[in-house]
Amino acid sequence: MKRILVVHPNQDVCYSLSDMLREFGFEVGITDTTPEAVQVLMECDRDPDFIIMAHEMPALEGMYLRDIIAQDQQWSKIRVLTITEDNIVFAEVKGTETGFPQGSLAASVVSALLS
Amino acid sequence: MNQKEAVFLAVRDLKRGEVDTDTPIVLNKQEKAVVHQKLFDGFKKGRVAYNHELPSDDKLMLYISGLVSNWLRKDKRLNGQRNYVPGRPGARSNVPNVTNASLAGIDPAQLEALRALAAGRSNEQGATIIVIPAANTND
Repeated sequence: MKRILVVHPNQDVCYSLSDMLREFGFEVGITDTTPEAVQVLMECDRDPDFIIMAHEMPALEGMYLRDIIAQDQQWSKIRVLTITEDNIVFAEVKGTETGFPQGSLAASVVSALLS
Repeated sequence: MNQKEAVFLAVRDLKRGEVDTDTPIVLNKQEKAVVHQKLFDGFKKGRVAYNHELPSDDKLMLYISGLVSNWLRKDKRLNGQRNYVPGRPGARSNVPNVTNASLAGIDPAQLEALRALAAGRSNEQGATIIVIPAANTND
C-alpha cells in the first residue's frame, strides 16, 4: 500500500485530501506544521511514497520543509507535490517542475500523482 | 525520560518561575540554542527516549528543533495553560473544500489508475507506478 503524508496549515485541506486518498486505498498521514512533519518523517517505520504539502509552509530554524526533504539523502527519494495558494499542484515530471491546474484541487492532485 | 518531559525540564531549567503560568514561554535564539544542546546531549547519552537508531547529528538537531517547537505549542505547562487546538479549520478561505463531489469531473480511467497507484500495482493507463518489493509491503 502506498503511503502519503499531507502537510498543510489548513485542516480542511488536510482532512478532505486524506479522506479522498484513503478511499482510493492510500495510507495517509496528516500534519499542519513543519516541525510535526519532520517528526513524522523521522519516526515513521517506512518513509511515505509521496508528500503533498502547501507551497508556503513556515520554515523551521530557517529551513523550509521542501529544502529539508531535498537535502536529505533518504527523504530526497520521496516524490513531493506542492499546493500553491492558487490551488495549483506542482510536481516534478521528468526533471521539470510541472503545474497541474485542473479546476479542482482534488483533480489537480490526482493528475499530479499520476504524472 | 520521554521527549515531552525532556523538553519541559530543559525549558524549566532555563526559565525557572516562568513555566506553568498563564503566560506562554517564548525562547530567544540564545535560549533555544541552550535548550537544543541540552536535549542533544540527552539523546546522545540515552537519557531521552528515541524509538529508533539515532540519526546523524545534523538530523538530530533538526529533529530537536521540531520537538521543542512542538511542545512549546502543545504542553500546557509551557504554552500558558492553553488547550492545544491543531490547525485552524478554514484558516485560508481561498482554499476550496476537497470533497469527493469534486472528483466528478475526473476521467474514470484516472480514478482507476489512482487505485492501482495506491495499491502499488501497474495499470493499463500508462501511469507511472512503482511496485514495492514484497519485503517492503505491510499489506
